[in-house]
Amino acid sequence: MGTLWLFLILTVLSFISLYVLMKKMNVTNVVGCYLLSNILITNTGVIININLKLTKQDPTSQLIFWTQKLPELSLKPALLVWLTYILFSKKSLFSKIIYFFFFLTALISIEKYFVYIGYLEWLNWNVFYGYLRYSLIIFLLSLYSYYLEKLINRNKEVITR
Amino acid sequence: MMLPLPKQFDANEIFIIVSTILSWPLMFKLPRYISAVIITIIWTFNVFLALLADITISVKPNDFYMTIDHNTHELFDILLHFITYPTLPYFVVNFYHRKKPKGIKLLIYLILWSGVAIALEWISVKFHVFTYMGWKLYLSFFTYFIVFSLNIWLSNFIEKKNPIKRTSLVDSIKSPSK
Repeated sequence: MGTLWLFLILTVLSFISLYVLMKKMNVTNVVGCYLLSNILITNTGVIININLKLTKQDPTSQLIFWTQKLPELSLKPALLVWLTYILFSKKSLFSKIIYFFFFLTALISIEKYFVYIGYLEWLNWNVFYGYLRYSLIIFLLSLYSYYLEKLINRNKEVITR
Repeated sequence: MMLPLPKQFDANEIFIIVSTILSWPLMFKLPRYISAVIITIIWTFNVFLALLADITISVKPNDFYMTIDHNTHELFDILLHFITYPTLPYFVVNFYHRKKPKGIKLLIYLILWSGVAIALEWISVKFHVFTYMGWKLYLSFFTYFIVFSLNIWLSNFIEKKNPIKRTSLVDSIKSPSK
């Protein structure tokens, strides 16, 4: 029950942080990136867990189920959207690399915590694969964000006859 | 296998392919009333919703329904989520933006589209795209009603945040710096 409360608080903080991000980044881009990050987390998660059976997640109760779902719907996407924002910011390449590893480590730490409390089992999975998974997600998310931003800017001026 | 292929190429796969082939040309043929930004967001939102439903109410411990043949995430699930399913909400949002009905007219509009959606779902159940294991068709009606309402709200929100500034061609020639 304590873990659920922890993730409930983190969920609230994640959504507050996304609200803050909306002041810095285009609202439409934040919404789009939040939705796509969820899609990518879920799709890769299901492929790894159910199709390839590299991890084992067998929630027996609603409590375990929702404790795992909460960060998947809030904390993880929030971290990914913030990282996308940082990658497109004017920060130096070095600080972007530092942030990249910091955020990816935070994402993997969530999973590692679930392994630690016994909600998740890593069968043929490890931290390195975790970095690969989230690197792929952030690559796809950055592509989406870049093209969505272009689309938003194009949308601003339409010449009619 | 990363994305399993169908065990048997049968009714449900044929239904997904046929409904995709029928709906996609319609999307391009029928007049468009929304911007590319709204289409992108609405499309992403509906893929998100389809996946959200599948990872919350169609898996343990809930297990209310099953999609296609497997309990796994198969290739046709991806096709269903990314290509087929979002077309219907696209039509709902697109035609809403034609006249933007309000009040009772909007309510009727949403009820009618929810009716269309459950009719299509009823056919898809017959074709074993969905196998109910505790889920009921009337629950889908309320779900679609909420989903379409959210879609319309989101499209209005995106439109408000990204208004199209129309400039006439004559104006742009007169003042190219604009």
